Amino acid sequence: MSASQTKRYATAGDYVQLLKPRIMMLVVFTAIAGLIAAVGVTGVPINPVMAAIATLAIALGSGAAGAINMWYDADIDQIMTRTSTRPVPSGAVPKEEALAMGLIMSGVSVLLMWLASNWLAAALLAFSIFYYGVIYTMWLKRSTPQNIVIGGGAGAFPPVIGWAAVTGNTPVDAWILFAIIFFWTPPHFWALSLLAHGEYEKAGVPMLPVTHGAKATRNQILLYTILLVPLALLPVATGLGGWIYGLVTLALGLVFLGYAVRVWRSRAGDAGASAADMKLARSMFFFSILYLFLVFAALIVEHAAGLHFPVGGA
Amino acid sequence: MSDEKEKYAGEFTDAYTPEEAELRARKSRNLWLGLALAGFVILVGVVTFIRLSSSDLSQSGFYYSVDDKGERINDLPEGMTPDQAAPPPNLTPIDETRPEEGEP
Repeated sequence: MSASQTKRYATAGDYVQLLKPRIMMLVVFTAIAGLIAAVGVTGVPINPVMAAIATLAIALGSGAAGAINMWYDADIDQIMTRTSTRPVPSGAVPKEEALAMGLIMSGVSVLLMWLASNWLAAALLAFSIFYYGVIYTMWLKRSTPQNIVIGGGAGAFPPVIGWAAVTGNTPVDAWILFAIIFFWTPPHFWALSLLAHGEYEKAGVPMLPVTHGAKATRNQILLYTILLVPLALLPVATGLGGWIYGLVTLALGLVFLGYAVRVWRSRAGDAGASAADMKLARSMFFFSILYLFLVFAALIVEHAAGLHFPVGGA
Repeated sequence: MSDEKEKYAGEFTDAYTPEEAELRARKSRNLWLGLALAGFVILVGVVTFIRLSSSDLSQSGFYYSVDDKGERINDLPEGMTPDQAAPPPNLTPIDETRPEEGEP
């Protein structure tokens, strides 16, 4: 470590960055959606303070997994420009501190979840931290181009955990929400990796565009989006989602599919790709975030505001 | 300086003196850590309070718990019979009225 790096002292902001706050926001939002949907569908009441503590536990768990990820990935984060300013590679936070923080927060989050809800929600939270911190970060990320596909399971757990926190079980509806995030993750992340595949190559991370090229990645983005659009409408069939959810999800799905088709037809990620093609991949990445946010927001609005009108009038 | 100290003169380096900026960073981190610990203690306290206030801790419900709707769940520990779980004979369960003397 250079002398200039040792002069940088960690601030509270560095420790917040260690928790990957942007990912945490999406995790918390989808968990709240699962929690509210569970109350709406089953009618099981939950103490609002307990619900808030359960949500906090999920946020802490997400932060813990992020800290463990930053501890383990410090070497490759240092190589990539996008991640080189993170607290550990920049020298602000020592690696050991990141690991300690991740482990302590993991324990605290699982314990809080168990106290505030039930053992199933706590066990699912513990497993999702393990999934992201160990299965994805330590194993899949550096060993297979399917890292994002299988690893996407880690980010798909929050609505299931939220549901389990309320009811103590995980019915099909909860796993449908899991599947939506699971199938959303590859097109979301591969759109970003089309832009940053040079960085992943430099760091030796076998992302799909690095191992199979940009064309194969664009094909996969289209394939997963084609699977995602009807899958996201499945809650309408089970009664979990009503008219509002169905219409919002259908409209958003068609726009998402439009992006996927345009990216598929473009040369985004290729060596000679135009600025417009790269901009298209970037737009798709940002739209994918908006897509997931609005799909789950529609679910929250329906169940929290009493606007759940099942299709077919059931 | 005593003879004993003179013997070791120059053997030890000066103690590390942190810079002002480092001290400020340490203080800030310690403050946040303290607040986080206090927050955790408060959260556990709140959870415990809510859990206890929704539990039936009366003698009659000693081996029973109450579900979210306030109904009694008669889950006895493994191997325990209802007779063994019943309250001691000198205690009247609060939710059961003992017949008055002379009543059938």
